[in-house]
Amino acid sequence: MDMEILQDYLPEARELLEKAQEDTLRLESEPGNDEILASVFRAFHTLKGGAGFLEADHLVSWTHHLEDLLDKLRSHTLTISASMIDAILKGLDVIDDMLQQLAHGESPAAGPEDLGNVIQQLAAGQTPYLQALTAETDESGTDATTCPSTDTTLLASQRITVDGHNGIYIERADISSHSAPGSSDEISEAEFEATLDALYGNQAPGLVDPPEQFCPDGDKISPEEFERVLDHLHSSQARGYDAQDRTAHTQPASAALKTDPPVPRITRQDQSLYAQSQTTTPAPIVNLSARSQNMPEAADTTLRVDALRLDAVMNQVGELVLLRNRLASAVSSLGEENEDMARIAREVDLTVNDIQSTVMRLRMQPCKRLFQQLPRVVRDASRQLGKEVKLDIVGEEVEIDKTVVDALSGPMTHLIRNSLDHGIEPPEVRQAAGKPRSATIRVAAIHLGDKVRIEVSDDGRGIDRQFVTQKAIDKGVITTDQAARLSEQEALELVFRPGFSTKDQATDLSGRGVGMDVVKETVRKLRGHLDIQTRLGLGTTIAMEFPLTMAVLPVLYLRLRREIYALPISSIESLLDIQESRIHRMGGRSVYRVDGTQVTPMVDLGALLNDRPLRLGSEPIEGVLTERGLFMVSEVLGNEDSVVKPIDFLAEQTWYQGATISGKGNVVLILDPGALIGHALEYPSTGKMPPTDRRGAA
Amino acid sequence: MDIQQIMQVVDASFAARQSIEKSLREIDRRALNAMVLVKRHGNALAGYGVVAQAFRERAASLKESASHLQGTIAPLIQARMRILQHQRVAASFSTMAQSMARLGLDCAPLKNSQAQSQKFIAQEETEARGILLRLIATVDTLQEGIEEQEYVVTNGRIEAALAEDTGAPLVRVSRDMGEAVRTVSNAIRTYRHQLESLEHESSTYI
Amino acid sequence: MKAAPIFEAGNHRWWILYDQDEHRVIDSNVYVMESNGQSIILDPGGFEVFPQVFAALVEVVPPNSLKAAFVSHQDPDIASSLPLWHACNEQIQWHIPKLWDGFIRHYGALEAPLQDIPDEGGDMLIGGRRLEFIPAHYLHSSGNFHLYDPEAKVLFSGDVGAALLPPGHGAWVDRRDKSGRAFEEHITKAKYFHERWMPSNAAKKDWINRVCKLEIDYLCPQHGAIYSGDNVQRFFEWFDGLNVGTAINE
Repeated sequence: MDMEILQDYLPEARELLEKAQEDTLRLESEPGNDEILASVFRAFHTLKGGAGFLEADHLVSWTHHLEDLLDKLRSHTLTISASMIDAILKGLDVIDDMLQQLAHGESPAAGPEDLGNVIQQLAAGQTPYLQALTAETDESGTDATTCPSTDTTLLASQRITVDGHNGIYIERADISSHSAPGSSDEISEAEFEATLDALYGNQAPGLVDPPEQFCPDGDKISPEEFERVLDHLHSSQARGYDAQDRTAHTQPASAALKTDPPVPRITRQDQSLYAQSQTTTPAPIVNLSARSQNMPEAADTTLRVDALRLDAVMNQVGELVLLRNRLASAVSSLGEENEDMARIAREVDLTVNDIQSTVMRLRMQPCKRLFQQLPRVVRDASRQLGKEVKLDIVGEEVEIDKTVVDALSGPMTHLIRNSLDHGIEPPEVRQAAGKPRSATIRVAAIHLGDKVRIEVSDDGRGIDRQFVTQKAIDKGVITTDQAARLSEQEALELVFRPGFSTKDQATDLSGRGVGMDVVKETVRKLRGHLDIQTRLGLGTTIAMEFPLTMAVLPVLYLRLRREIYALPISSIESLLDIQESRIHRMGGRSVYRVDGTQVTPMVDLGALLNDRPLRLGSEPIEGVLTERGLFMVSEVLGNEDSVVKPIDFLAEQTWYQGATISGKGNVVLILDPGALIGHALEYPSTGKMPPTDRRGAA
Repeated sequence: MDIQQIMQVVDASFAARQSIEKSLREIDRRALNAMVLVKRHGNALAGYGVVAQAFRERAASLKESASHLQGTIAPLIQARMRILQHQRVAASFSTMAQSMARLGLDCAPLKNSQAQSQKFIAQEETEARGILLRLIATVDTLQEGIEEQEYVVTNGRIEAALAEDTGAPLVRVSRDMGEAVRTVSNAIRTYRHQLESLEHESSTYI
Repeated sequence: MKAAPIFEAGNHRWWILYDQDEHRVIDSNVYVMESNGQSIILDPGGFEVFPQVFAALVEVVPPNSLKAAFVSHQDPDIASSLPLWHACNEQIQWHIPKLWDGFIRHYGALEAPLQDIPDEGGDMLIGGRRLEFIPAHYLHSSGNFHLYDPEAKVLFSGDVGAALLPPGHGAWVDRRDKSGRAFEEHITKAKYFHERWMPSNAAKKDWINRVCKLEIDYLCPQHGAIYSGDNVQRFFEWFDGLNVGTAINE
């Protein structure tokens, strides 16, 4: 496989695929839109062409069938139906799989036979359902039997063209060709297959869809015929059957377009009859770049860059940031007499900040990339479940770090499915409850300072906390004692626990092992924060907040006795002087009265990380107020823009997000506030650490 | 100078030091709070970020000045206590001299010791006064630092007003910073008055 | 001289003032306990080191908080600064062994308020907290008391536990050493002091029986370093096995 071509092909193919899916979904509401039909056709065509270059034969074959179907749709030979859209969408999924395989350097395996047959049958103008019932009694009168069997056949071979490219040569076998393998006068179907197999290993698809016009109609091979044969042969170079293009490179036969006969219904059984021999000259197929001519002409201003290179730049900027911090630290220890150094350090600081934000922008991608798969998910799932759902998408243009976009695709799908499966009621139920039959799922991306918030909300039945709590007890996720201590919100958050699934039987849609716990874990790994809000009977909102960038992490350094830790600034609300009179005990837990209205859980990091509670009044204590609770520490030291280094020596279950290197050159562990608060709430009486990691910072 | 007066100054030093330390911690926390706020709002508050950074740097240098303060108070107290010690010795000498005088005796070595003692006290007084002046100078530096800090706070107020539409509670943060600075400023001013009155006393004593 | 905290719980604190700058006199520790804004100074030290003790003291407590002083016995390294303290603060109540009342006044504070502690001991209140006078007669003085704070679990043990340490020494017998090696090392510097200054094995037994009943987290001697945690028990065991009064008792 030509890796260079592959590198070019894959991203483009993915874009085409996404576009095709979007278009196909649009076809549902605008079935007659020729522009869209043409666009989807072109997508398959281009995909096929590139696949040919890569000798990904199954992909060629697969896209070919889809292209064929679309060709008939755009020429209005067939009219689009819901089952066709289904089949196209599923077909797209298969292409996606195949692209994945390509990305792993494998040659894609054959697509699923059932679906392949369905697509072919649809292209043949049959409804697969009918076909299944009436397989033997094909009512079609215009089958291939009308094509008389002749003594001639087409020969195909692959040779080097004059300009040095691989070319496919088609010849009429009745005129003996020097290139024809075994220049026999007659090639049987078996021989033809054998030829194909010889050309393409043992993977050539069977003969399919022989068009009627292959019936002898003269000495000429019409462009249409030519195209078809090529397609069957999976030419690596076949371009779309396009009158204008074709005229430039192949025999002009634009008339053939207009005289396109209706596509005949020919079933497999008839295929033996299609092979015809005609014409004379080998016709090298023009070698075109796999790059699509349909791509927008933005090449001058945009540049496709390998994500790995971006990652490399980001890592290097990370190192630069750390060096900058060390420089700043070193210069500040020089004292005031070193004005020059101080000025240089300040300028380095500013420059590094600029580089940092530029690189950060390089990595930003619009949430559209994340959201565009969702209409499809909603469509499929709502059909399957018999629910009526409208999807509102807000904030597609909001940009977020590429890592988040990449990692969140699975969780987003899961959230949507989950909402459809568990949250949204069937239309009758909704109607009975006085709600509109059609439910709404809203997906929104909102820019909030240094964060992006992504929300998935529905107007479904909401989550019943008691039910959730009971389930959690039944499943052994929590004990009855623990359940009794849970606040309403904590009860709700049980759905994020591993091993929790509110449905007794895993449904096809949302209960496939990847659960809400995976969503939560993904969010955590992205240094995000997950929040769930629900109102019984009214709906549920799951909100995820992510840092705008993963490139740098502004942290606050804090001291816990002799050890130094870091907390991500994004999680911090403010720093407080702890006043004893504001500490209260509630239900066996310490809470802190921040002001007249806010009471928040209090977590003693001394108890949690040192096994030795901090003693108010006996040692210095400061408070760090986060969104989820107040942390007691010995001292807050200062802030720094830092870079996270993953730590792999810690167990999975950990209170640390990673480590960083402080300006003084020390390795400092970055605490995960969510995990710490969660743990403290769960085990209010002990400060015990999980046995997996008892070590603090060095 | 009256020992009670010295004790008052020692008490005042203790109180001033505690108050300054507490306020400086408070100032530092306010500055960090402002930094956190700025960081959390991304680039929108970059202007305020500069102020917050300056505030924090000034707070650090105030801390530094305050530690010099402590380093000067201790020797002053030691010097004053040495004076007390020698006054005590001198008092014994003078009691002895008086009893001898009552008996009509004159003891030259005792007189000599008395004189030595007085001389020593005078030396210590001079040294104590020197330390006191240094202490006042340190307090001056601290006050200058506070003035700079007040200037930063004013800048912060302006930036906060400019950035009001970002919705960040900068105005409140600025006010908190201002309050913390005012507290330390008051503590230092009071302390300075006490030192000045001690200085006045000691100069008249000499 | 330096000040270091020993115990801190809200408004209840203990400090040690240690490592004095004057080396011509024996190096002594001075302890301060503060409770609710009132403080007491234990074995306030000699006349010569008064200025540095005072300067170190006012780093940790304001001088006007000083309400009382405790004098374990009559020695000059313990009580000869009395008149100077008295000059600074006439309100200080001096808790001294009754046996030594008339002797201690010789230091030159005839008018100072001395509160005699009877031989059997007793207690006192400071800032709302009760401190106990634990009899420790003949260790080494014939009228000798230690002072116990049951809340902080601090025993001020006067000359018991004393060690002769070089200048720059720390305030603690290494607290983090679990092996006991640090104690072993330290105790070599305490051995001669106890053998020679402690006159009576019987007194020693009596004292050990008495203090073994107390909960002690910090054993604070007037010379040397503080024993805490396991080192407290180690000291008792060591002292129990030590032959004292060696000038006549070889």
